[in-house]
Amino acid sequence: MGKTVEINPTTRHEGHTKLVLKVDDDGIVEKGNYLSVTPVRGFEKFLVGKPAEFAPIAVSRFCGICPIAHATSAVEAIEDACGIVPPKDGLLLRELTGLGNKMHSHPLHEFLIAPDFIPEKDRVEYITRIQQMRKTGQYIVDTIGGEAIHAPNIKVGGMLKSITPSAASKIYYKCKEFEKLAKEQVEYLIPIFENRTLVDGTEIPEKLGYHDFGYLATDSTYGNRENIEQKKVHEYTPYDVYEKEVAVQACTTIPRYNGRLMEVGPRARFAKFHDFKEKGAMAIHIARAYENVIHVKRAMEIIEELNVDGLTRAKDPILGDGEKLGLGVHEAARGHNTHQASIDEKGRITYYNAIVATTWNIPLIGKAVEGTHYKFAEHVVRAYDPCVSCATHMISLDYDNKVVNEKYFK
Amino acid sequence: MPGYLNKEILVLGCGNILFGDDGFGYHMIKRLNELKEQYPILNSEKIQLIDAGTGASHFILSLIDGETPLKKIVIADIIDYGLEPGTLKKLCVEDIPNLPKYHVDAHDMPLAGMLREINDDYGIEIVVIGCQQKRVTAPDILLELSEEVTNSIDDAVKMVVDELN
Repeated sequence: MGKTVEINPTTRHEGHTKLVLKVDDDGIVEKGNYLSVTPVRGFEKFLVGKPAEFAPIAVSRFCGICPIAHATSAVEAIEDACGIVPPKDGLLLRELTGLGNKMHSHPLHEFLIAPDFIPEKDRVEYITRIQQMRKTGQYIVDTIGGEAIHAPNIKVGGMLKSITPSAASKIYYKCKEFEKLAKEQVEYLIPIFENRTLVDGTEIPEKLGYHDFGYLATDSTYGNRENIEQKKVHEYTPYDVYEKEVAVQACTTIPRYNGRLMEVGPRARFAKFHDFKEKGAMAIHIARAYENVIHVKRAMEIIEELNVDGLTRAKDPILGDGEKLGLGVHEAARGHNTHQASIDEKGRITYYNAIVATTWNIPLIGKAVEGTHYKFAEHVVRAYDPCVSCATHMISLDYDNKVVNEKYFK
Repeated sequence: MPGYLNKEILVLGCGNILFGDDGFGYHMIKRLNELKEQYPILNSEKIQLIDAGTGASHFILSLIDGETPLKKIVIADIIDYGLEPGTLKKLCVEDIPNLPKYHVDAHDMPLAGMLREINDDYGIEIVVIGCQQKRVTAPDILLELSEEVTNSIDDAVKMVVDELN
């Protein structure tokens, strides 16, 4: 007979989502639907007509967790549209700000999964380590970005200003501490994930979260528009993927690359750049733990490479032709984050579109819960660290340019 | 630790610039930055102004611990007490609603509980300069504050400056 199981809301992630699962008599998920139910925000619509410089300010407000990732994608898209090439030291500082954001965000997720995996006796030490790591991540964003949250130094053309030599050496020193903590975290967490055991002793099925879709990542730590063919990206509507009664509630587009669903995020980056072959939900946690080490190593490399007296911002005017579609790609904590913009000859935005990291993962998470008992579904969801609020961009046309649902225009 | 946690006083403008009067906090920080010459106290090394948007709980409050030298947090935000729009009200920690713990969604974590805990655990003084909102348009986007809230900004700035002295 089977039945439908609905988990609503799913917890310990950012934004509002639910799972609608068709399960068989043994509780095994036959069909998994994971859908966002956060209200549509309409950023892409209201940005049109605004000055290009407003985009990084506005998109920083997509959500309260990764303002840096969005501001970075926005300025990259506008620079591409206007043919602006930021100077090297500006880009290094920008990458470092993004690394600070990830060095805060990954440990935050490790905090969110603590109730699943960390025994009570270890929690204080575990969380103390996480807090120290988050402070360093935030120190970097605060110092280089110019402010803790909506970093005003991330500008079209580069970065507003450089840092002092003493700030650079402080960052380096703090990164050394972070590296030590990140390695401790790896040593502590990897055996837990490899043992596949929840804190209450429940064994996690070996193939939990396995899927056969692709991986999409453009850079190990920053983002590179040369490594993706954007023309192969197509956004579908939920109606193309879910049954109608489910699709009507979903608030994200479904992007595909070459027609294929793609996973983005730590494991995708690891698969592409570090020859990582592990699959399943636990492999994402493992890749994330290792990424903390990769991020801090790159941060220290940047400090060594950076000329603090170097030029940080190109002086070119922020003007486009209104036609060229600029692409901004950033590998955010949760994965491949793209913004696209066109800018007219007066510097105003004529088109804006964002496919944010979690958008890619949402349809995939639903598929990845299939084949195991529904009681494990939440652990698959959480492994992806979904940050759904920024992913809620519903389109109203399907691939044949047919109107799917007129009410979304209003 | 992040530079702002090494200060004695934090001024946080909270809210979302995109949702009408919810942008009050952002506009307060902007105005305070513009008035640094008029109010020299705002240039003090001991004070940090932050456009905290909707991220204060993640990026600031959750990082405070016993080693943080903070003595006071001043928050500029809108309130909804059914007053005349634009009315300003100073709230202390006792006035902050005592909400039950909220573990469902890290994104919507309300500030009230965290502020109470910070006050209880570390003795950091909490002051909220609240401005009665007229319209918060979420989820619809509106970039302007209402006239009433706009007109209250300069008075609210004075209240914040009073808290810094």
